Amino acid sequence: MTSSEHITQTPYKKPPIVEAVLAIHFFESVPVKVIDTFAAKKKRGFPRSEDIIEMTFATNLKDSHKNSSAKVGIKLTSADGSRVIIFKHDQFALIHLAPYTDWDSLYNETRDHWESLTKILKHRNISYFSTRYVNRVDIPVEGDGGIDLQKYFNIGITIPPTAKSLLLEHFTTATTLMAPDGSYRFLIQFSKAPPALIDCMSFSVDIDLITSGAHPKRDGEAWEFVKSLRQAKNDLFEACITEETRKLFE
Amino acid sequence: MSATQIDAGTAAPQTFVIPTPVATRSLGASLLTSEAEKPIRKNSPRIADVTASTAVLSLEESLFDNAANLKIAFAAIAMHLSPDWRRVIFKQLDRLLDSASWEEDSALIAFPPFITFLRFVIYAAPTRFPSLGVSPKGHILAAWLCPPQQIAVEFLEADKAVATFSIQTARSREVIAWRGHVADLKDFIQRNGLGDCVGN
Repeated sequence: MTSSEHITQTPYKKPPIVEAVLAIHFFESVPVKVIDTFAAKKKRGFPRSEDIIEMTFATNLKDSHKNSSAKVGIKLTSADGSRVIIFKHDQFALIHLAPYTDWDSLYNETRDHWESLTKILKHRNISYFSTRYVNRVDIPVEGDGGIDLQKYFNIGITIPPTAKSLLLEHFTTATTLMAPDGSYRFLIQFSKAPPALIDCMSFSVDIDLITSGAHPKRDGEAWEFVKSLRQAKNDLFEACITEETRKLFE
Repeated sequence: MSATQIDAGTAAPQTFVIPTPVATRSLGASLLTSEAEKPIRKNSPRIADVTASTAVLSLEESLFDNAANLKIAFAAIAMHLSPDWRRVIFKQLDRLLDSASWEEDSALIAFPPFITFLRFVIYAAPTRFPSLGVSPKGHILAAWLCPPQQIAVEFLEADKAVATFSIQTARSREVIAWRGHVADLKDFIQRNGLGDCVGN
């Protein structure tokens, strides 16, 4: 079965997505005043607002050193904790937490928030878009207390046969892949995660798609471009896992 | 240039930014900018990437934070539970962390015991929902009532729990105490004929 066949099917019964992010990155810094105005507008749906502070430590040999801190953004959380907005001077992101619904919800909600934001943000200075899907795959351990990674993943590490009696404690890999036309890159971070369930091993397949070429400047066309990213991110995830893994999501 | 070569009178201030969340850290950016001519592009932020806070938390804010963090923890494994579990647990968390019914001896719910509770629920797969409470230490309490029998569990951190089982015999009411790993709790419940009480 090809990967494109999978995305046309019914969504997984137990989707492994623990965090889905759609982010807009800015050329120029967004003033804190705009960020605060946006937070005030969203207070009803996102009652919890926390400041994101960046601390700066400056030093030279003449003047000793100076510490300063400045608010650079906000983190807004919905009442049920299923949605989080991270709005910093250089990026705006909507995060969906599990249980994941679908791409359309993430896309439409992000677009709605963006339309609210453009009413108070005079210059629509989008630099690029990114979308990140953090998947956690929980795999029951086999009789010897381990699992065969190749049985579940088409990405990862190879362990020498002589070391297979040892317990796999941790690994992490980071890989970047560029689209043939240069329009986006993937950052794939594959790692062993703390076991979420009893008698299981958990693995994180964290895929971040970052646009890298020019994107349409008009709002409508830009969002159509964002919509087109869905297929690429789905295809890559499906390519990273095997049929055995898919069975775990049913 | 080494440190000893810097002219104290002309050296420009060095600026460091801390902390360095992943969203703005060099991990994503440096990997993505292996070609020198490419502009630095940050990756998408995750919740764990940012440290956010408010200056002083009111009781309402503390309760909201506690509930939100527990709900987020629940969400991370929600795919293994039916939507009914989400609805029932969230409703009970809101009840336990309601400022209107908060009393002096009420306690916030500690995170690790709550994780133990969730891991037990997925492992043991009970089909009956428990009533939840909170111990003075913040441990989550779960009770399955099926008169005249009763199971009461106090979940601890690191997959440990203590439980009491009330069983009605022909002569009297017996109480059995148990302590151990929650993976063994399921077996213990079944060995004592209380499987029906939790629904498995």
